Amino acid sequence: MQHYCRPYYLVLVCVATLAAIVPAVLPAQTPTPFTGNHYNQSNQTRVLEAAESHLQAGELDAADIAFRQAFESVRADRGLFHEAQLPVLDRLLATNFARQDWQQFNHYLDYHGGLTRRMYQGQAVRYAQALQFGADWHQRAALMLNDQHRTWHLIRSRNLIWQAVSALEQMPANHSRLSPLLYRIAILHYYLTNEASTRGLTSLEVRTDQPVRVSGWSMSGNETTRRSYAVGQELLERIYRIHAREADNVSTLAQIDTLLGDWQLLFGRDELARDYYRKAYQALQTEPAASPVIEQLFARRVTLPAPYFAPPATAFPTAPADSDAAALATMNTSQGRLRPQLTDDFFTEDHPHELHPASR
Amino acid sequence: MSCTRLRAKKINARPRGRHWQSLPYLTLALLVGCVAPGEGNFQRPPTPAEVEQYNAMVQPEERIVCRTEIPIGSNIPVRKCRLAVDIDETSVFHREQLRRALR
Repeated sequence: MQHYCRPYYLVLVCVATLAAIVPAVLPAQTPTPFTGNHYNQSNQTRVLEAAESHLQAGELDAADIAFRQAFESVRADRGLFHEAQLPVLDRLLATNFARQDWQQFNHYLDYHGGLTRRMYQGQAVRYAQALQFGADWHQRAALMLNDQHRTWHLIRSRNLIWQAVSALEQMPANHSRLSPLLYRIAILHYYLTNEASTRGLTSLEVRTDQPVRVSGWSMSGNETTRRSYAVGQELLERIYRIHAREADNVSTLAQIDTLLGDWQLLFGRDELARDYYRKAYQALQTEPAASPVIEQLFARRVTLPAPYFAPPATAFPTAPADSDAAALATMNTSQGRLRPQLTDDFFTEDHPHELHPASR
Repeated sequence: MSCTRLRAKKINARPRGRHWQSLPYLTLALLVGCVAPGEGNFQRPPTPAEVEQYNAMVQPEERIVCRTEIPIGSNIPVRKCRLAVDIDETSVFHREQLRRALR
């Protein structure tokens, strides 16, 4: 009879055990190659770089997948309400914008809205900047789309800017920052009444926040135009009042008068436009150093709606001041109305001038 | 002599100095007329921009629409603000009534 404790059997058992353990232990000791575990910071960076290169190469679907991975990774790693999500969200919006996947695009914009509302509670300026960021994206989308979708994006953009205005109004110190936003709302009104489809406008404005039309009572086209004119006029006058409190404001007020003149011209009120231009010119004439401003305003034709002149005090400290101007400039597409080149005799002579017909 | 004429005669018969007695009442009436009827009671309707700002901040069911309406029995336009939901409901109701009347 054989005994199982013999050295021969013991050696066999040891060999079998080692054979089972070694393959399991060895891979844990060698460095792990990148196998898709992106839930740590170095891999997040790697995934983001890969996504960015996909985006640059025009591989939009691959970029979308990679950015989504990075987004999930940031959420898991840093928390659901962490600021680190914002740059990745921006890239996701850019990718879905390029893919024209409007459902995803709107989803990420909504997410951005909800996230920033929660993160920036009690920080009016930062919240207003975040709202402006969303409004910029909506306006870019409006450029790409037609009909009802364009209208919807313009309305969403306008609503977000109104929310930014409401946030800034809570602190009197922020009042100087309101004017570019108010001007932007006015211009969005112009686009809504003149360049976007007014079909379903009332529904999109008051009945739902979704890009769908709900049947029911609606404002007539004339009523909409009158309302838009009234809103723009009111906002421009408010901008005037905001700057009227400042010292050395002659040139600023003259520029706002010019914008008021432009507003009249955009809505076909040439007589009133002339009065505003004349008022601006006469005010600038009293300032010895204002000749460059006169030159800038009246020496050449200006495509309307003109970008906001943005005095340095009114700009956001961190956001690019020309973000509104850039977004609005790209909207200058179809109508092609121009502020005419106005010569000295237009302002000096008393008899009424017709504004240049080419301005239509 | 008619009653009116008699009263007129009585008024004329009053001594002139007594007109001054009503002066404080007149002044008071003028002052009351100049003061807005209670700052809390009188509210101007919101401007179009204010309406829009309000609508941007609330849910769709709370949004309002302000328009100039001419009430029945008057030629003077009045600016009225209503909930958009109410306008829809009223318009559906009126349409139903008209349909019923035409049947």
